[in-house]
Amino acid sequence: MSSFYHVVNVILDVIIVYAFVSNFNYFVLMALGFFVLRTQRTTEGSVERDPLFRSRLMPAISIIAPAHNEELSIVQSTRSMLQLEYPEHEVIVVNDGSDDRTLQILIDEFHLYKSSRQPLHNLASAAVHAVYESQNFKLLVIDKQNGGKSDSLNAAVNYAGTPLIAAVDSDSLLESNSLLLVVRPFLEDESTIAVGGIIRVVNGCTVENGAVTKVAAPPSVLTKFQVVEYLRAFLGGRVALSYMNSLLLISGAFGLFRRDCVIEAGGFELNSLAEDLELVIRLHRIAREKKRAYKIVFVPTPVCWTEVPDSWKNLAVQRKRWQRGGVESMWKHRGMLFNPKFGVVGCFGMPYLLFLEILGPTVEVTGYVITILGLLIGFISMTTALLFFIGSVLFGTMISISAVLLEEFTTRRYAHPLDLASLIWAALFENFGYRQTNALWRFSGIFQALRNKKKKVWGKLTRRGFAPQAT
Amino acid sequence: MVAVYIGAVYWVYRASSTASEPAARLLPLATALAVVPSVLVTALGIFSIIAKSFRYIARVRDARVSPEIRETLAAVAAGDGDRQRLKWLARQHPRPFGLIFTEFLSSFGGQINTELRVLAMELGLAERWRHGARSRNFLVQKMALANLGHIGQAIDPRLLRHPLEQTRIEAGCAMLASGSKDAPAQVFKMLPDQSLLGRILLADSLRPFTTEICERYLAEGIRSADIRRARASVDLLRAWERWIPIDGFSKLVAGRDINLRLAALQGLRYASASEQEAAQEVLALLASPDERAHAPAAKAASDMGISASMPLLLNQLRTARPIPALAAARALAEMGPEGQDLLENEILTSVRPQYALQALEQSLVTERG
Repeated sequence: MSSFYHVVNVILDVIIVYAFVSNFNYFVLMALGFFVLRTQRTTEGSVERDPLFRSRLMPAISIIAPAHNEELSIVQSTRSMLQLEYPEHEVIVVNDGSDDRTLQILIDEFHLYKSSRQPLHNLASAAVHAVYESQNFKLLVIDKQNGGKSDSLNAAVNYAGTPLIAAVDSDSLLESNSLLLVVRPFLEDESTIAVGGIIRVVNGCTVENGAVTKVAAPPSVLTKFQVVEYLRAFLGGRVALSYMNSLLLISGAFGLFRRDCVIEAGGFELNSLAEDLELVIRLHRIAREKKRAYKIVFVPTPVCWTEVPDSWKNLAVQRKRWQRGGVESMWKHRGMLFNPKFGVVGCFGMPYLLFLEILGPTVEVTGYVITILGLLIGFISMTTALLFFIGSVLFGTMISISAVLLEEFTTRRYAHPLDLASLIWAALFENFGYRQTNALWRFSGIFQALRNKKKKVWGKLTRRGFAPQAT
Repeated sequence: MVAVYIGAVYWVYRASSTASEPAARLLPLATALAVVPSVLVTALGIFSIIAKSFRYIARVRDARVSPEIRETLAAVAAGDGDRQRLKWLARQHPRPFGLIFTEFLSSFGGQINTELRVLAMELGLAERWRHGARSRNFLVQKMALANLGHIGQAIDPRLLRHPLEQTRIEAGCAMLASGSKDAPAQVFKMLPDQSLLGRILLADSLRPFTTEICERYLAEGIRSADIRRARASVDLLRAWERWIPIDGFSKLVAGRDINLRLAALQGLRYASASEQEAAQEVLALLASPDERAHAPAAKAASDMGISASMPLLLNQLRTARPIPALAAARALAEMGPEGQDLLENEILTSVRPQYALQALEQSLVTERG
């Protein structure tokens, strides 16, 4: 028995080292993110909008937004997309076999007529029933058989004729200048093939006529925790990864891609639960294999506001799905891992994804189980337990607070001091209960992925929609 | 500081190295490692909340005093305000005053602008902006440069070669705004080295100098063997979208790099001195073996109403890939009854009538408004 305890102790030692190393890594990325953001803050967003808005040299953009049972928010979000400040853009909404009145609401609201518009490409997607166009707006609605998000995105890409396509969630709101900002890297560097904007939590903000008019921290604790998570992921991680050109994820809620690159890559992978992650990894792969100069960039100024789950049940569904998607994408592109042929992506980006994002929850959950059982049975000393606590929880808390401070020192979107205080408070307590629950969900997501369920279920998330005063 | 911290952590580790259990040796080390970042993060958190509260109060105060600043400044600029009160406001509330003054400078011309220039000197703002133009903070530098431009002060030409593109662009725009005589030539010269973003912004600032640029520099720029210079010149034409005939424009680009020709295609109808010459280039591109040229050439053909292009467009509609085929169908639909008849015939007889149908339908919807 003692040798078993010894082995368990060794495992815990490894986990403690892992916790220190991973948190140190997060800390380094966050520090790098801080310096990058400080530099970008002064140059990005400083460009006057008017010259860009009236220029004929700006590349046209198609905004593609899949919608499945979005009757509550579809009009507001479509209107918000149509009203975006950009010289030339069209909106393509895909009604992905909704059971509710999503399509009828769109037809009534935007006076759509049945169009004979034809697809320009042939990416794989489910059967299209009909295509509708608006007489008054640059709006195309594709009504198709239910096939999932990737399927809908592919259907939309098939109808897009512009050089750039912006993949957007139909339950999200883009800020009016977000297209002018997100297109900037394409104008600055011709080798840019994809750009991601920042996703922020709309819960708690005031939404009027499809635009966020007042930014505030959400009142519910669960959504506050998610605000901290989003800040940590976007401002800390992605800024630094983008700086190293090893950004592997452009959120499906808001990303701008070169259409020819998406077509060349074969579009979004059908049945994938993380089609955004998978596509970006594939774009890296193709560009590296063909030895092309390319850039995949994250910019923190163009904002997409998204509604996050406000119930534990919905959040669990979302997080398990993300984790499953991550595991599947990693498995599919495992050949890139530690492969010097893929440069910094193979040697840093992919290992980062595997060890910190995918294996992280497993290691963390194992650490908690061993520590708690070990303390109860007595085969682990209090000293070791304390070490684990410092390595995972204390350093984790510091990183969460640092993420909120990073937001405050750079983008500063929350105007009221009380919002900052409440977010710091959330960052402090996020590591006591919420983070562990999240790790458990993600751990179970890994299991689901390993069981390789053939049927990919998205899971139904209940949305509240953008009421004038969002909750 | 960092060295002291590392030294302290090492000292803690050495002091605990006599403990028998590895965890007991490492715990003091981990605690020592954690303590400084924890204190730092907590202190920064508290400091941020306090700083944010002060900023919030300052913002509320600025919002309260702004209407008075605006009113007094407007009155003084119009020639009948209380100058002493304005000076007092500038001293007491420099931040909102600076922002409002900048807003006025960029909004007003004529007599008011002349008065604002005098005020900027009197209140010491010009001197402050001259310092700001050398700032390493880009936002400060940008504002200073723009303001100096608006009050007609000279801009350091070395800034046009600054390593940061944004600074180069701001300096170029400010130089143009300042009314400096050789500014258009200098800015035109720097165009090829800028990104598309830079070219868009500078093209916009160069708009008031269109005639001068066209008469003196544009043709030479397009003729240039340096493809970047030629491209930048063509981009200016596209950006301005004005009728600026340039002798032999089509000949200047014909037979050159395909990307340059495609860019020039969009400016063809504004820049060609004769329709016939423009039509030749469009027809050449429609017949070009390079597929990339077909869709833009079809668009240009319909924009310029080149009826001689119809046989080529019809052929493109029948044989090309979807994007050029659709572009050809759209072009025919825009060519009036003759083109639309061809499309109707295509719908009835062709094996792939879909693009003709789509183009006709869209044209009908547009006609009905």
